[in-house]
Amino acid sequence: MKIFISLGLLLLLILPTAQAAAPDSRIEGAKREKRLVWWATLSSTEANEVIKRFNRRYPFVDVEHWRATGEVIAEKIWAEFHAKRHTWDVVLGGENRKFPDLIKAGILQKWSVPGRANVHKQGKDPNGYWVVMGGNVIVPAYNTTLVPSSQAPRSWEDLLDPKWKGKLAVTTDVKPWVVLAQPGAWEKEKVRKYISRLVANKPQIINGHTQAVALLAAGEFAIAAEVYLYRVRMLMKKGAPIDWARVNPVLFTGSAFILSKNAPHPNAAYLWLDWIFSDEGNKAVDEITGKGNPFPGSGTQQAEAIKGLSYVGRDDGYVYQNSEFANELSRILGIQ
Amino acid sequence: MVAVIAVTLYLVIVPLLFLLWSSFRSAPVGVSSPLTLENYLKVYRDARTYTLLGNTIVFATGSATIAIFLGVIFAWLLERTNIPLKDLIYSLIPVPMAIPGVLFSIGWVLLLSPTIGVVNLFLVGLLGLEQPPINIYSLGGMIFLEGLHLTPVTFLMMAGAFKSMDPALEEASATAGAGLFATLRRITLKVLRPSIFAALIYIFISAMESFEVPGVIGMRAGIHVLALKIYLAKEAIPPDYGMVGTLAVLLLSISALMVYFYGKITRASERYTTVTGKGYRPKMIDLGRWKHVALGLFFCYFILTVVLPLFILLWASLLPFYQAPSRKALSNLSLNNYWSLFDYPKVGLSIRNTLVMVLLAPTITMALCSIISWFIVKGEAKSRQALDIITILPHAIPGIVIGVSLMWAYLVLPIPIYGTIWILLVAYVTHRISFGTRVMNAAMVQLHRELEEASYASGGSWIRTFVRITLPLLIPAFLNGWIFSAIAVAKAMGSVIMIYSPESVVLPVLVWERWNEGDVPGTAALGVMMIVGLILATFVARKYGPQLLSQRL
Repeated sequence: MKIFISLGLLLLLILPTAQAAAPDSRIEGAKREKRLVWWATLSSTEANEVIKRFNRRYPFVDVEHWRATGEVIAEKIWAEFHAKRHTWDVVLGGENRKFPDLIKAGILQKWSVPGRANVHKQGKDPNGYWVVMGGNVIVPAYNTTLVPSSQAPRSWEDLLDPKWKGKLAVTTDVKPWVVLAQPGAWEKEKVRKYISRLVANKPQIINGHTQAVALLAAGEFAIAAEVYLYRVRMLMKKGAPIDWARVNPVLFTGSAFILSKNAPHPNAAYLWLDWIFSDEGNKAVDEITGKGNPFPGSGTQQAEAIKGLSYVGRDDGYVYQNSEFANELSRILGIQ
Repeated sequence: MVAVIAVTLYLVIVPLLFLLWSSFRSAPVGVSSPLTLENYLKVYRDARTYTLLGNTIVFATGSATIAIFLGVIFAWLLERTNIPLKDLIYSLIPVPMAIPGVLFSIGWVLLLSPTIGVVNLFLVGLLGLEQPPINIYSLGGMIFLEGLHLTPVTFLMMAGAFKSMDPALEEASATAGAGLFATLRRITLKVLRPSIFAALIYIFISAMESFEVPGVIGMRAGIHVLALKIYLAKEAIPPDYGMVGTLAVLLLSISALMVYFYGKITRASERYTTVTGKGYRPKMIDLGRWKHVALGLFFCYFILTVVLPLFILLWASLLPFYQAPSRKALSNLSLNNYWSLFDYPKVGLSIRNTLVMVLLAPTITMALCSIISWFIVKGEAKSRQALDIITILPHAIPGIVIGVSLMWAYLVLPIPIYGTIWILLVAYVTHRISFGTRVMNAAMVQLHRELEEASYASGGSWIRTFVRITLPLLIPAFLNGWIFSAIAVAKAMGSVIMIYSPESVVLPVLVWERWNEGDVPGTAALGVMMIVGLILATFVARKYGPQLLSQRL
């Protein structure tokens, strides 16, 4: 028995060493592969900065980044798989709801890196296929010239106040409201009623988040009901007269990393994921994008900003299955 | 000839089949689904579809009327009269077309919004008004903006036709004592009727499928059109290609019907030919005292479509974030957004790729379209009207559908262009075939068969006749079509996003990225640079293009 316990202890001692030793073989492998193909929803400016930081540690890997929306990436993964082409290694943000299909088709592989342990449990797949790197926190925001801080909204319900009639904007993107309708959050009926009451305030319909924040800063309207927190913070840093409302709950749509089962550069891919989820990589992504994970204890700018507020993370499967509800909300808002 | 027609059919049929196929499916691409009428039932059973169709027709008719009215007048003034400053006017007319779509719409909000619009603020201050005088959020506002936006296209389509028209009839009219306007109305416009109809059809379809103005102004004015529904279906998660396809099929059917009736109206196209074997020498009409009125008209147009949007873009590009003009904002002006353009990854590569595409795509498109147009206008085959209809269809196929269909097609077909810049070339040429054939049809209809017959009689082959006789007479139209296609290629976004690769990145991708990052000033700076490039390119193309083309032919 004692022998078994001793062997067990010995194994525990050896395991971390084995894990630490793994990158050496990976490093050698990556040196031979030289390249990595990374598809991401991150812009090329941001991606380029992240790659530069990665290359400080691993200068021998040439990371090729291709930028597209999550939908386009998901579509391209699917199309290449059907055509039996295997060009990509890792993807960030290929639409989480499609992951089950991708796993079922044998397109993805399980992976684990030490840094995965530090990610909040809500941000990782229990089966080991994906880990969330960051994403958009969605909040109401207001123009500080048009709205004195004493009158600033403090809850979603505050947006229903008749004093905002005609001074409010919503975007054409109704998905955040569907996230708010998820089980455990507001659920459908409450959101339906809320949106119906919001319509009484005659919101202006704005096509897309970029335009909404830009026009909010320009003073075209006083309040934007649901915009990306990092964009508001980005413009605030530049001196724009806007701020965001600390409401409960805030909404979050995450972007996750996945790894191709047929990755042409598996070792470089491992180094990349290992580095991205290390403290160094985490910090780099957060500094460069401002869109690090908002989960408690993540230590990112978004996590710090929403400290003390509750949040609802997007359940992609739910959003996908409730596209009819999304259409209904669009109709109530007068978008279609 | 057969090869050219085969290539054109192939280019059009790939996205067209994809569009039709997806309209009969209810699942996303790549997921198996039985063929179904579900999308059609959903669209045609919905009463709102008819409201949208009604709005769309009013919007498209209004905008096309404005665009045709202005475009025809401008083309006549520049091609047939002695109006001064022609080179300058010619270089400036296409400028509004070069403004990236995302900036075009926000630019007009910044100019004409009742709350923060610079023009409204200026007028309120100047006239001491209590209320802003202009409300752009109305159907009238939408039609006005779309009309102005489409005027340069009409102009470019008509200019070639005007240039190819023998002025003998006009001169005869003038000799018979008819005044300037009587001649314009009774002779010029009548002779050019087929060209005007051809342009009208194209412009009408352009307005129907345009999303920029309806997306910003219409959405806020509560006036919805079909293009909005297509956009929302495309943006849905997952993109509802079934719905996109079904609605696009509706637009395609309207387009096909219009071309069909156009064919019926202008069947006897020889009634309209003016360029015959007789001495063909366009002469300029002396405007006399009307010269100043004409210049005044251009001046107003340029203020609205070039000066103001360019000013607002320039202003936005110099600020860290958009602010209405004020003393405080003035202190924030800097060139930082321009300097940061050089920091964009792959900016050099994207400029180089864009230049290659801007040179190749319009040249190939116009060469293909010249031959196709000959077949449509001068050919004897019964299938010519079918070809006429088929070539207008890509105009009503949304760019994203072209992108998706090409991605799937070239992943499967044994033609190794997937992931290269050449797949972009295919997309550009496919999308521009409609415009190219319309421009060349409009000019071709003016050429009398007797010129070619003289060549055949002297033993000239078809190719020789086409290259030595027909094409040289069509150079003005060819060049105008080339310029517009080049601009369209330089800013095409929808079809590209799906099929570009890291090596084939082009400028519109950078614009799209800046915009998606929320960087309005950076997008504006890129927009300004693209417009400057365009003005230079138009100027050079106009100055050296005809020379270069006639040397080659």
